[in-house]
Amino acid sequence: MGTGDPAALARDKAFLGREFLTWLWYRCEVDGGEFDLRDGPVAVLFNDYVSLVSQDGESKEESIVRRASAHRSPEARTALLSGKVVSLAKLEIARGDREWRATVVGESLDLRSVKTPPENDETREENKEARFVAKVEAYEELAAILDGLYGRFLDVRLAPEWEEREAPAMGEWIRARAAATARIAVAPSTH
Amino acid sequence: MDQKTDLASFRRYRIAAGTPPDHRAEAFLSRLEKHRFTPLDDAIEEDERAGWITAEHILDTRFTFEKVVHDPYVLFALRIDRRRVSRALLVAHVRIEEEAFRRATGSQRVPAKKRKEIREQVRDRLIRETKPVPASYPAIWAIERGVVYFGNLAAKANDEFRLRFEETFDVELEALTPFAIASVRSGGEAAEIDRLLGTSPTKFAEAATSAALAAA
Repeated sequence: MGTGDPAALARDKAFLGREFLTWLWYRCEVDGGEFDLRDGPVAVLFNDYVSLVSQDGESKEESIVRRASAHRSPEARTALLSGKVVSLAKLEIARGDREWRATVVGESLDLRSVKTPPENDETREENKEARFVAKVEAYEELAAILDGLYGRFLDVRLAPEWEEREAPAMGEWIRARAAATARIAVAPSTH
Repeated sequence: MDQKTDLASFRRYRIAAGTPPDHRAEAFLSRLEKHRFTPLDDAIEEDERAGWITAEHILDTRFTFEKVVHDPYVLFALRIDRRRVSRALLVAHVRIEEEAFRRATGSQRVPAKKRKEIREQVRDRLIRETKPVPASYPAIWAIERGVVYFGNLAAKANDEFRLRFEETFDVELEALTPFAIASVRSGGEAAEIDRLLGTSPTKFAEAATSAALAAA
């Protein structure tokens, strides 16, 4: 690339991965989690685990685990309002009738705890070689989807639109969610 | 696919420089063979060793096309053996030796230099007596796309993997981090790279306030 030390650049720009996950969360809530990618539409769902950290990645990670929709928890909303961004997110990704699960690490875009779609009957009857190839193709498709989503983020992130519209809109979304949490917290009991 | 080739977690790399050897040629297998895993030497205080194995099982270092080439993918694994002495055991043995020194010399204290010597001797002895623990991690290379999937996320394992891969195949690997993916995506277009390099962390709450003020 000729732009400097790759390791230093990877470290310095790791925040892009965390911002991507935060943006993905925002877009899932605002647009319903449907993305039209080059190889076909996908649906993204945030699952039962999300972790947040300060923008520079230096503060202690705050992990939030909920049986469903960890990102909807008051703790997650408060963490966002305090300036934290998503460092780790457990996602469900669907394309047609195929579904993957994976935890995405923001700073590196590594994938953890990956579950690929179950083998269909046709694949199960194939030989070991063909089954191996099908499995790796499933991993590759997941990686391609992740790249597609990240590409959508970059299209906005590297355009003037980011500072003019998207980032302020995300800021408003964070505040609105925190306010909704506060209202729920102080709402009088109806009993 | 068996447990040995499952990628429960993985990091992606791309071939950033160099021309990979033809995976259908014998020379490809010879390279793996040359950098295959060999067991830790008991005679020296070596506490770690790494090398390639096949994905068949942890003792298999006989590379064949059948085991390695699964077009369009190439499959092998990195084995890393480590000897680790538990800290509790090390502390216990050091204390025993220090006590023996005090009794032998009639001295209440163990001089700092002697303490260091005792610690190093104890550690070396325990390392030699400790059996190495093997671990293996799959590597799947999508040859045509120039992408490699490595099945472990630990920093040390990745450093070892990268070093060994580059040495084995005379190529340069680059981890596909957020910056690297963005950079590759830009196709090297100068303006895009500049925009990428010019990014800094966004403070979302402040961004909302600034926009509101600007609109007022």
